[in-house]
Amino acid sequence: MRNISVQKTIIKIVISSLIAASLFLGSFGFAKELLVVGARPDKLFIVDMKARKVLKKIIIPDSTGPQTIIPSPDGKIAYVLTNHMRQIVGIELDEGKIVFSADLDYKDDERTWNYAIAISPDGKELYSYDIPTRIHLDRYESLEPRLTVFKTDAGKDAKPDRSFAMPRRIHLMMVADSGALYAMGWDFYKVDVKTGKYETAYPLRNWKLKNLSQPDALAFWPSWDNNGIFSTPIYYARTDIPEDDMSRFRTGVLSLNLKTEKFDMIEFQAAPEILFTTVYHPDHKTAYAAYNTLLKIDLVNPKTLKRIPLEHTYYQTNISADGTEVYVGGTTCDIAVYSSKDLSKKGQVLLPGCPDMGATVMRIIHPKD
Amino acid sequence: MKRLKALNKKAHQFILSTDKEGDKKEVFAMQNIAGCTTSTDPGWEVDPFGGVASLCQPMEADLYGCADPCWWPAAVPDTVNTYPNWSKLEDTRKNWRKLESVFPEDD
Amino acid sequence: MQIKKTLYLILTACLSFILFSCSSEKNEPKLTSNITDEVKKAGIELISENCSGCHIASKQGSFSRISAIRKTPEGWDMNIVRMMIFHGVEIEKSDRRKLVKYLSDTQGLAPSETAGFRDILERKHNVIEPTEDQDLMNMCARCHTYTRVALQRRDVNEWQNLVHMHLGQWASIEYHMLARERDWRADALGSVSEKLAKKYPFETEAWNEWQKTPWKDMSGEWRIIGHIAGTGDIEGTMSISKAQGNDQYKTSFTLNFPKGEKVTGGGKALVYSGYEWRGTAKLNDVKYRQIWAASSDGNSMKGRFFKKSNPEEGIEITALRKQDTVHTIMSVTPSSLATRTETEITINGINLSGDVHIEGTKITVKSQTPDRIVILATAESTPDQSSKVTIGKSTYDKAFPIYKAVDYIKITPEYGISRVGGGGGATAKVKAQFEAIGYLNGKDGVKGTKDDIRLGMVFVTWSHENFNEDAAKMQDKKYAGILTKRGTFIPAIAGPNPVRKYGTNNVGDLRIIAVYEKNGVKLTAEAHLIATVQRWNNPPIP
Repeated sequence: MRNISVQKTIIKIVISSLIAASLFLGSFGFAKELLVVGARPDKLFIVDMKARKVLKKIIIPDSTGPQTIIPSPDGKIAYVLTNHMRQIVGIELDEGKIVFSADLDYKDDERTWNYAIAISPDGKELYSYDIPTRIHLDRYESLEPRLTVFKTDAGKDAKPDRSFAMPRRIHLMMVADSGALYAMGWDFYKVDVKTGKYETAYPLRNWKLKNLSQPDALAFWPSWDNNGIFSTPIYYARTDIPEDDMSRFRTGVLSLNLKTEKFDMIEFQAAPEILFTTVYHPDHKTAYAAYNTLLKIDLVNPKTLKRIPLEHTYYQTNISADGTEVYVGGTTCDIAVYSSKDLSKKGQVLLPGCPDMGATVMRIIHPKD
Repeated sequence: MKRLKALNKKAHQFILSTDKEGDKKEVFAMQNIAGCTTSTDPGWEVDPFGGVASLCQPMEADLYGCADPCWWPAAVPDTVNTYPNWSKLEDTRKNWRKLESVFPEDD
Repeated sequence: MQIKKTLYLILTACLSFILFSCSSEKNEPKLTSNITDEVKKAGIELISENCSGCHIASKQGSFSRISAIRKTPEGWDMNIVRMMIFHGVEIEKSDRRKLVKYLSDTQGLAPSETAGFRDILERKHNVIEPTEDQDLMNMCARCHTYTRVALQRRDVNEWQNLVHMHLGQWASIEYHMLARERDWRADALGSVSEKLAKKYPFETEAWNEWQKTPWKDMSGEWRIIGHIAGTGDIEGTMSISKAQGNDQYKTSFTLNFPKGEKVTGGGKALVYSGYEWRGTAKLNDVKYRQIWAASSDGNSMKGRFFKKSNPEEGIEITALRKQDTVHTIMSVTPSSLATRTETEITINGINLSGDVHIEGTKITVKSQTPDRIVILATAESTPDQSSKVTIGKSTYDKAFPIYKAVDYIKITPEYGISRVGGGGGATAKVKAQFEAIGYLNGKDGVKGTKDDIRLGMVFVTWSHENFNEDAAKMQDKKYAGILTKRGTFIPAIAGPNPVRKYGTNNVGDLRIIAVYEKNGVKLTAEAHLIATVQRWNNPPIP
């Protein structure tokens, strides 16, 4: 008995040294890709997906249900939205230390929550899309949303550097390689982070595409880590097809290339199923979509190439940098791995203790020296 | 029922009701049992196809995915403002029995 | 405004006093005064103690926000609970009750203002609300019942305050489907608030008039009839005696359920706003609740009598006050008569006396009391149309069809839901009750037209099937629950089911099938059941 337990301890020590070593190697020198994902109520995991191994568990102090995650461009810090959508916490991933914290409820009489975060390419500024409400003694007053800019070196009690009025109902933001901020809402806006001025970069609610109804695309999940492309499923009706014909309802992939800043909309099938997210293959020839099914989509000759049922609902799809493995995650505590070629299941990673990922996101980082 | 099913089928096209000018020329109509959400994205009781096959499977997988961002607050306690301490469960599929019904009835 | 209100209260008090003094006529309900000065004073003190930390009090006794809204007792209770949950206000149980009572009495809804929205109030869960305005349905009823909205009265700024509260409380309200495609905030604060203020304004003639109507003393002897869906009719008596004040009562019941089951019990009741009867009672040791509305003359009540543990299981009742001058037929069971067969028919009512006559039938009276007459009836002619039931000078106000054969049957509800429950979780199963109703095609011989004649509940064989291919693939029928011989769908237990695909819950999309067979005629009807997941938030107005 005693021997076994000693053995176990030794194994544990070996494992933790290995974890430390691999993290160390990952951070310094080797271009390893790591997956960062949150879990309820206060966890952040770093996973080596290729090795199917959870390398590290970081506890976010006083956190409830982490949601979106924004890695710094150097892959060293993860900015996590937590505490009921009203706090952004920056966590240094090597040590798990808190290096940044911004309470979005920074005005006494306001209740504020966040719906999107992005980071500048130099990692110096965080952009937070916040929805405030003024709380009077006996009533609420809904206020206009704002883009709040924080300096990432502002420390653990970060205050806004500047803020600008923004349109309502923005749900996802991303920064192009050029540094231009894009915000997706009723339309896709391009925002000047210096002046707060914004213009419609791609009309959605106001699109003028022939014979197409107003589209619906609600995207919360970042999809660009390994392909440089934001993409999301988009639904609309073909108004030239009779109302009683179910083929009237179409599914497309809406995308924004973060390098070229070009938008694209590719219709690939009717609307037989719900899809929450898509991810482009790094070669930009195929894409993958998930919810209760996992789809492989041909983007060159647009059509669904393959569809398989998943083992339960997953919210998010992601892909390895080499394009061989598709990851599905979100909802419960497993990240499933599928072959990008034929969608055969290749494995899975269980988050230890089985905490729910819920509405958090999977990000892939490439830590650089 | 006829109307309901017909409309449910359409429901998949969440937005089809509005024309592309953004004017609400035809108002999207989906009827449901009173108190069930008609925001079928993907729906709490009923999915956009009028069935249950496209709901989150199982519901417990989706529970915090909707409670945390306040998706169906009339049916599922929202943890953003109203019930921040509703539950700090881990592994809801296993521990769902610990979830509480929130309205304190007076009797 | 305030002066007007005060004057008005004084006027109301005077009027009730005058009426009270005059009402000594025999058999008429006694009139009681509505809100006394003492009650008013106590009410204002109660609000002041519990609410004035945030709600600004005026010298006239009004409080900001609170005094600008009218609601049902359930609406006020949800409002108070909201203050407890949203803002951590600590309110004693007894104060919560008193607040609901005082606010419902002074800022309630008139009977005509609740009339169209009683189903939800009565905890019926399988109803589709009337779509009077699709825009309001999409705006409000995509999350909760439209009833929750329609049973409130506010002016435009208060409707706007409600919108602001929604925007400040529910983070995703502008992002949900049916909200995100529009400028939800602008519409809600603009056209929708304006529309609601026009439809449901704070000040109405109906409420002004109702406040002047003296509350009736509900004590006395009552006759009750009712129907349990899928099972049959009930009848009996109820005694109401005063417990305290002019609105608290004790009740006792002697009821006859189908198949001769005797049910007795008693309880208590509280009347809100002068007509909203809310009672609890134990019937044969089962806890029941009553949500009834009294008529303005205080001589009849209508509503639901339902199990506390399972509100979906209940009895639709009508109660009439027994008065010497009233001779009335309240129900005839069964509600129609097939030819060729001698059928036992029970007629329930008040002070029934004289000869029983049903057009086109031969009748033998088996037993007769003033409350209840049992006859054996044989239809001599086959008119396939409605007949009339008369007893002495009383004529039943509903038609009594005599028919050769049922032409078709329909299931109600045509679309229903049940919810998984139990299994160690916090919520009980919510069953779905189906009932098959027989019909005649009517004079035109065409099914589904206006002249069709409703025959009443028919006994059928119940079964259920997978609704479609998707359901069959998921084996919904196997997992979702069972359907009893009385058309009650009992859902399976809550929680993920590891043996199902996706490890999913015991939910299902099902077809409910009723088969009626009599004298070689076989009729079938179908309904749709969504056997779905539980709700975790269960306020009285869902």
